[in-house]
Amino acid sequence: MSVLRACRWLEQALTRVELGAALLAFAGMLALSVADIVGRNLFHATLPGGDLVLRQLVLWVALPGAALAVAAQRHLHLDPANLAARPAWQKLTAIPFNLAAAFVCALLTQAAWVYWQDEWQYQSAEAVWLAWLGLILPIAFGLLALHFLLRAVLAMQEPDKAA
Amino acid sequence: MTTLLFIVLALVGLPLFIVLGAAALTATHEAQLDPALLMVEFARLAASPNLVAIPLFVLAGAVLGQGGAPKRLVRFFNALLGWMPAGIAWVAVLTCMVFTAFSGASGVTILALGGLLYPMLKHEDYPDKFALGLITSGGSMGLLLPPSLAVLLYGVVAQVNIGDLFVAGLLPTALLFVMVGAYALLRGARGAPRHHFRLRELTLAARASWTDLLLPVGVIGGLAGGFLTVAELAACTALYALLLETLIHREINLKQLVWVVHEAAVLVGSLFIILGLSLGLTNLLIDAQVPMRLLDWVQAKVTSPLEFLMWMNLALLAVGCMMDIFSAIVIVTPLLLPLATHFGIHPVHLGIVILANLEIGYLTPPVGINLFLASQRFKKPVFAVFRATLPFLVVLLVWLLLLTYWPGVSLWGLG
Repeated sequence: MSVLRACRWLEQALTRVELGAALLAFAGMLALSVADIVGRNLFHATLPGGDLVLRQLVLWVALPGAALAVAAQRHLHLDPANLAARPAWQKLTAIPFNLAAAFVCALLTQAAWVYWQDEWQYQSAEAVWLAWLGLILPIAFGLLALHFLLRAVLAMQEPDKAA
Repeated sequence: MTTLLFIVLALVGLPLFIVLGAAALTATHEAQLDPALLMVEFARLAASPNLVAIPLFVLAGAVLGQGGAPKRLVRFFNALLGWMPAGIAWVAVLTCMVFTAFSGASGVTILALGGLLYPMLKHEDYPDKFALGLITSGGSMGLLLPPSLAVLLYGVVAQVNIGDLFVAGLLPTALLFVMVGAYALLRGARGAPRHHFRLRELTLAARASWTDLLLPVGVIGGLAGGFLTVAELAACTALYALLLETLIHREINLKQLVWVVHEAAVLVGSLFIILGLSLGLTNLLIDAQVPMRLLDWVQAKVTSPLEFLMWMNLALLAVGCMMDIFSAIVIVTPLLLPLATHFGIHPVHLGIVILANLEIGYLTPPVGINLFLASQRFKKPVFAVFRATLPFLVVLLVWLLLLTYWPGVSLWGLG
């Protein structure tokens, strides 16, 4: 398998996993919200820890969503001169921009990993599942770094399509 | 020097969250702090109960946009208001406003409704320039209505009651509706034919769209009545929209639903990653006393609240020209809030003024996203679209002045 095909395959596989995670997180948010409303109004009780999980699921929608946005090239940017519309500019910047972005994301992954280890260490035994849910932070920043790296490799392999 | 480099990198098109992340990492390095502190702030995204509402409202908007709601709403408002002088123009403004509130002003309004409303306006002999300008500017006009994403985001960032913000946005939106409608009456509808009111068509249209019309009524009622929290309301809205488009109207199948979730996740992801990283950066800026120094500087230059509001408007219009609305809210609000508090400006009033400014930013080059979307949608040059929106831009600027210097329009519901 050529590097190009391998990169494309990996990007598609990652996108499917991220979309699956976002889909499940959305479904979980809806189910927990409904359970909360029904439980509170009809049974005067709510799911234990339901609110905490619901809030954590925001990260489980947002962070895979951010990774999907890299693959879809839909991250917010300023670009007041509308440089993105110029193929020559895109061709020139695709590799350095994606590599720089991958580097920043790698540093953020490291920061997120250190943060998660601290959380894990100081979490009480009853709330250790919350730390597991928090694992999305280092994983997602790692995925972002990988996506940008793949984009850079794809731009190297097929410079005309990067433009 | 480093700050200048980051600004240049942002201006040449590096994703904003990368620039913010790099700036925050550099700031922690310079302050000899552990970069893990940035993630402490990032994880606060999971601490705000109101933030849960944003992904769910985005999902609801994406479902409605992909489904048949735009068509049904246009038909209903046309049957309701189409008989009035400049009827179709009123219909266009109202439909755009309602739809923008649900679609999060992400440009979906122009894409989803433009194809329906633009031909309708042309068919009624409205000048091409007027029709183009109305649809383009209409794409951001419902930004203050519940459940607008921009209002939710401002509420979260400024820690202001979201219900108060939504109530505060009702009168300004009604005022804008009247102002744009009046302009249409005076300028656009000169040759437009009048139609008779047809009760049968209204009944049929209402029967087809009553389920859609329940949504804004339910959201406003739920917020005003305090029956549900904002997050619960968002969950109910998303579920309702899903049921409506998948089971009742059957406009969205399973494959399309996966695409809708993809679109919603991309929008939420691209927004929240900026929000999470800017929380960390803002904290570092506060540690470095940047807002305090900014306050000292402004105090030395500006003496009255009116003067402050004038300078703030000019600065925000400039920001709106350069930045998309969500990034601007996240970055600008923490800097403006202490200044506004110092000058005795209510945070709800401040929010409405900030959002009104940024609403205008949708139409101002070089980053007026609505100009580009309309240019693509209607196959017109961007400059032609900009020229067509100019009269509406003037109406919006007059509206902004009214909102800025007449706080009662925003604060009427706060007692």
